[in-house]
Amino acid sequence: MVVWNEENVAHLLSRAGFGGNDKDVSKYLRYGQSVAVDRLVDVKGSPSKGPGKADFDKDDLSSLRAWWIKRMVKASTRRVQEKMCLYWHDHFATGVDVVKNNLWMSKQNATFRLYGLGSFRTLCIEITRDAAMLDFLDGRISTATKPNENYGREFMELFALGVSDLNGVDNYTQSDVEEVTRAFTGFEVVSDVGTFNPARFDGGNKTFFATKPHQAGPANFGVVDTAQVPLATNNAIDAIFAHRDSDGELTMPRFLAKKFWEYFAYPAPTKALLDELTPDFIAGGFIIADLLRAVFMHDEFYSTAAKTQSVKNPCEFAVHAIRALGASTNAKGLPDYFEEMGMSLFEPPGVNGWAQGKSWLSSGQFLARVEFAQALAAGRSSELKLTPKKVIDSRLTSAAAVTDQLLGRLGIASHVPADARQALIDYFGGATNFNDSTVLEKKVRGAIVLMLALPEFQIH
Amino acid sequence: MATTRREFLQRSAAAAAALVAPHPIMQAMMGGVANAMGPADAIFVLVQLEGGNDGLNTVAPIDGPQRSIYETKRPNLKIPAVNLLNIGADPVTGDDLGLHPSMSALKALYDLGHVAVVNGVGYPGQSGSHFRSEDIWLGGISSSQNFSSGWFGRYLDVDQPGALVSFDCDNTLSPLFFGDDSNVLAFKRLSDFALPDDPLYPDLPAKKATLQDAYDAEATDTSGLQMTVGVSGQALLSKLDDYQAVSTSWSSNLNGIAGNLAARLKQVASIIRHDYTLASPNPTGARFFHVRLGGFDTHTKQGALAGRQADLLFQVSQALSAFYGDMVALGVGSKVLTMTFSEFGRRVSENGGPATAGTDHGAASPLFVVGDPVVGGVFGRLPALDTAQLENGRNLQWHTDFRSVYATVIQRWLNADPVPILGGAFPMQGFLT
Repeated sequence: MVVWNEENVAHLLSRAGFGGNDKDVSKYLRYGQSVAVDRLVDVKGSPSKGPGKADFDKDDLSSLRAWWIKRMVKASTRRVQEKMCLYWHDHFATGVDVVKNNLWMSKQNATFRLYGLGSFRTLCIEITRDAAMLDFLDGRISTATKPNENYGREFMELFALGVSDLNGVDNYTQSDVEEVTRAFTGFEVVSDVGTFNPARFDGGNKTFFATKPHQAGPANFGVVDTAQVPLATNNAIDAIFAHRDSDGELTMPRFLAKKFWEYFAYPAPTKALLDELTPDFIAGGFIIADLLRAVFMHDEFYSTAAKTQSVKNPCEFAVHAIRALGASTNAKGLPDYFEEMGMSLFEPPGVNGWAQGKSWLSSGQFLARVEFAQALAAGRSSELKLTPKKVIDSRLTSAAAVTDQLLGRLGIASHVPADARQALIDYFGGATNFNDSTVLEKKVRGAIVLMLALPEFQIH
Repeated sequence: MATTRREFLQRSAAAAAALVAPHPIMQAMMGGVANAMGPADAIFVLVQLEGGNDGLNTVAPIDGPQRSIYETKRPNLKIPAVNLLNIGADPVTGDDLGLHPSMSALKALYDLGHVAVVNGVGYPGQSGSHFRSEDIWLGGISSSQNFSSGWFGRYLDVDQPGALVSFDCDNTLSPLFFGDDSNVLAFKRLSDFALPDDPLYPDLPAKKATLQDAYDAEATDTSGLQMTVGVSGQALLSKLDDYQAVSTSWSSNLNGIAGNLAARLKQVASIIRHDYTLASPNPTGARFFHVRLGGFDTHTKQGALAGRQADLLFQVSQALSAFYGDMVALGVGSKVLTMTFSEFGRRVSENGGPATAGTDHGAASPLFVVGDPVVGGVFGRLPALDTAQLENGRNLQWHTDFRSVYATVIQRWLNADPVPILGGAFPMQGFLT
């Protein structure tokens, strides 16, 4: 067990949600690690759904984006749920630029909120018949006579197995892609709802993973259930979940554990670590909250590596900044800033989602972060509002004390090198009266921009 | 699997040996860098066509046995022979090949000898995954290696360590440039290259100075990711003024051309114009550029004469031609080499009926190399279309390893030794001498 201190709580809240303020940290500190993690991950699905009409109107899309960002800014007991909506949007990346239907995107987002912490199997079934996904990866035009491999291939490659296992051995063949594709045929979108149409379905027998001796052999996947989802689709998903890798271990739990670890902790975890994360997830029948709990309860999650080797994505960066500085926002202008920082919600660059890591900080996107930081720090309207007197104690009389207080609020005080801290102190130009409005408006707001532009605030 | 693959490699090696004319530089390459050919300030522009461009409808057979197979396998998507823009005989079959009819601008450049069409480019072990294949192409690695750095990043590591000589025309830096010591600026729009300020309480000089001091401290006093961000911050501030001086308001040939590719190449052309014609000595110093155009993943409604792919190829043709025209007009035509690539070609057989026909992920595909330094013409054959000779019975079989194309660019244009950068020797291709 790790020492349950403020630093570890702040780290958990930064990764499991969008960062916390001082009050948040002390609350989850009081709970102790086990209760804190349970309270975060054991959250019932929420039916909340954002706005969005069945068209591709830009303003309508912007409202949907703002609605979601606002939920992230305000998230409290449901912070992990909102974080998982963002995670699943990246995992099952679907782009409105292709789908061109805001309602379908909004419904998919609601699906993530409803099922994002529950059964991974249920989530996969719901996504397979999700209108936006059926459009994005051509599931709606994949029929018995004209199968389209797009969804079947990406389902195995990106959603459930990966091209190859942890030993670099291929998980499936082109023939498996074709067989899985057959099992996923038959869906169409009717009145904005993904619907199964038996007439379009390939009812023949399918053989999955036949070339792998440790896999289940041919089975009859041709039985059509009368329910919304054909039994074959369920069976295909179950066959994929039953796939074993070249170590003889279940492939999907390791695959998902690796994706979670890389998203929530650091890149390239060891196989041994991954195998410590999966037992409860497997035993409980693939409940997502169990896998998350294993991540957040693991000592390694609180290692220096887990706190320093990931770049915050633009959502994490911006929402954390707003929350940590106690700012308020109507979120209306935020989608545009997010776009410039490289993260247009509902519009990932491709089915692989957003590239993680250093690529978030290429020069253009980095300057866009500074741009956002400037807008937040200079926020004097309902779009973004930040009150300097609420962020610092204006009775302080030295720039050093104010600098340390601000760095502390952002959770980076102990990481900033001495000379960088000194540069920030010098920026105040010898100011001693932090009740002075010019000092507050020019220098305190200015210093916040600079601090949000430090390397330490970009990473976690 | 193993047997198939070994046979496959042997067949490919034999094919490569038969197709590539022996060249003195090939021997010289084994022992180090041969005579330099590219200028010391060579400019290289890499154009990435994302999604997997259907090479078979980009360079299609006009006549001969290949034509009839093509027509059989593509009842809805075939381009009528009469519409194809004839680029001459396939070097192996002798039957005529043609560019997609929407590429008349590029065809005009081809006729002037400024375009090389390199056919059948690919690699063994095509996975059919966009992401894996992009990793392989951007990484310059084999299909059994994991991605760890970009091929151009490794070139920069060797030849231009730490230097700010590259510009990615996108807000997201491409893995192409990832390296141990590569330093690359990435901007979608040049106008984004500026530090913001508070309009009510302006304080920009003080902010900039503070950031400079802070990043200097971060770059020297920290490690890992913190240091990396600090170093990038330093680099960014050092080039801020230089790039802000680049004007995009000038009479470029790209001005009237629609689409993202033209808009991005306009930024590239503006930087080159700024460095080579208006100021001295080369304030931005950028010579290596990467631009992307997406949308080539035409699983559905690909279209033939008109449609999704035709629109994209039209954009590519128009933009490459106008960019070439700009370079010549700026007097730097002899310094600029432009190359296209896509992560894979597409399936030989189409996948749907008249209304929806598209093509699924394939393998080998042609690429274009454009510029005054290029030896124009068709290099390598259009891979055989009969089912028995297709990869796995469905995809075009590669005969020219993509790393052989890179090796040619690295050695004959960038004047560096390709062997350590690509992790092995690859034969030179004839599009540069």
